[in-house]
Amino acid sequence: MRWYSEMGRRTWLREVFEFMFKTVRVREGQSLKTFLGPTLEAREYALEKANPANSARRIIPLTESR
Amino acid sequence: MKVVLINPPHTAIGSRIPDDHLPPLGLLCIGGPLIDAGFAVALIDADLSNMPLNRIVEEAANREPDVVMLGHSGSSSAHATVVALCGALKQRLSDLIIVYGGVHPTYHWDEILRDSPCIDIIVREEGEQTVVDLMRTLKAQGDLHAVRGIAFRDPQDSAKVVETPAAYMIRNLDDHRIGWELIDHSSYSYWGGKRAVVLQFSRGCPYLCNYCGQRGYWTQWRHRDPVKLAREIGRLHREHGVELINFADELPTGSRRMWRTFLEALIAENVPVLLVGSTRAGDIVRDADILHLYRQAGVIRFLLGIEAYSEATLTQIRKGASVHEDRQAIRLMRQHGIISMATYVVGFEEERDVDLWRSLRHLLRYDPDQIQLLYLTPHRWTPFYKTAEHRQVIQTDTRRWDYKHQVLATRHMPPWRLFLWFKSIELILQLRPKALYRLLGHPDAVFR
Repeated sequence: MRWYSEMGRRTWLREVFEFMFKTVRVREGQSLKTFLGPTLEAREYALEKANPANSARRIIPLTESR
Repeated sequence: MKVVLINPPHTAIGSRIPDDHLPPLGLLCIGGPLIDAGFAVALIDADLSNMPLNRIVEEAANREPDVVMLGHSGSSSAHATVVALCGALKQRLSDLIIVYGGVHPTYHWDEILRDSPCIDIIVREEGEQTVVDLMRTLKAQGDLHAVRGIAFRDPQDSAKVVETPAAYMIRNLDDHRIGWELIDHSSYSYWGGKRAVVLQFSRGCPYLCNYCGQRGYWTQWRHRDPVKLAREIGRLHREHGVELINFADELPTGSRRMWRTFLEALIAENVPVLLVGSTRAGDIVRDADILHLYRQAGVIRFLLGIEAYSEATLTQIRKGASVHEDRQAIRLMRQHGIISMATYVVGFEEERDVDLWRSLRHLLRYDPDQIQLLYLTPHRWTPFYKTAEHRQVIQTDTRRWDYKHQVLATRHMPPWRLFLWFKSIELILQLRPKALYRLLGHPDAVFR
């Protein structure tokens, strides 16, 4: 608890300082979609679960291959 | 062929403020299999001393690598640093092959390869087997198309990006060992100077929280052999003096039977190690009758993702938890001398002062020992992202997308007022008399 409190004290003060003097925020920013791009939800599942010995059958829909 | 693994310096406040640093587990996980496959591997942990980019390049050049592999702790906020570092590496070592892996590149592979010519190959998903296949192919100057789980620019047409089929999920997590020999254990600590490592008992999570990408990244919940893991911890303590294990799992307690077997095996090892990690409140409540084993094995703190107070919000984010369960879990952990740390998210679009006032009251009722407030930070590969696509970005420096800076505007509150709530809630929770008592006067010295 003491270690956590010490970290918390240092982080808390640093965050207040950063917010007041170092953080630049945009007033009329872009939408999230414009800034980062559209959702990648279709890529959510990343790995192939199928057994390598039986790799012809895919269980999980994956991203489009190119 | 020589491989240099680089852990880039993280800009997030969590990396820069504490004196303690944990080893880069992801890089060690691929380092072990590469060494076992016969490659010469070295690690540069630039995060440890916040190494400047020119020094990292110098250190890497001194090792004369054929391949540099970079990863980071699943954090998009480190990506800008990685790109800058790769650019500097390529300028100095033009023949170098740069390979980049981790959660962010797994999902953003096509954009990264399109926008960052300094990065040659992306390893998607878990990399233990993929990096070995990749390195063998590179050594034999073989066809990269045959390596599963990577993406690269087409050698015939550099404007074209190729993605190979997804890697096979590693079913037996004990098939690949962690390359502990790549680090000097005395450099890594946590919990106020205790020699520490990061480990995974499991990978993945079966729950459907829509803001989290871990479920999809790991695809399915799997666990290590509990007895083998306990033996590894015992060995780390006896041979390297490791005193604390930080579990990187989303859900180490996912299987009661396996977790119990692990706890009993670790108790049998009879090593005085402390365990910290994250889990779900529901698992703590489920394990009420074996929480004494948690403590006996060394569990000193579990982080619980409370995230929100209202059942409606919990349903919206598909948390699959209840307010009652969260409170019960904290109470049970306290009864067994285990510190509870609650994470709580602010920055939902419709949030008003009254919601934050209620949040404070609820958190006071939950009465966690430690609190960590986070700003809502969307990732493109999570289902939550779609619900936030229209929201206005107010922080355009992605290095600050580290959960501790507000990145999206809320409809009813300017950033300064949300920040005021954020810091006030932290302050009130940690300075209330109960919290001060636990800090200064708790009868259990380990707890204090």
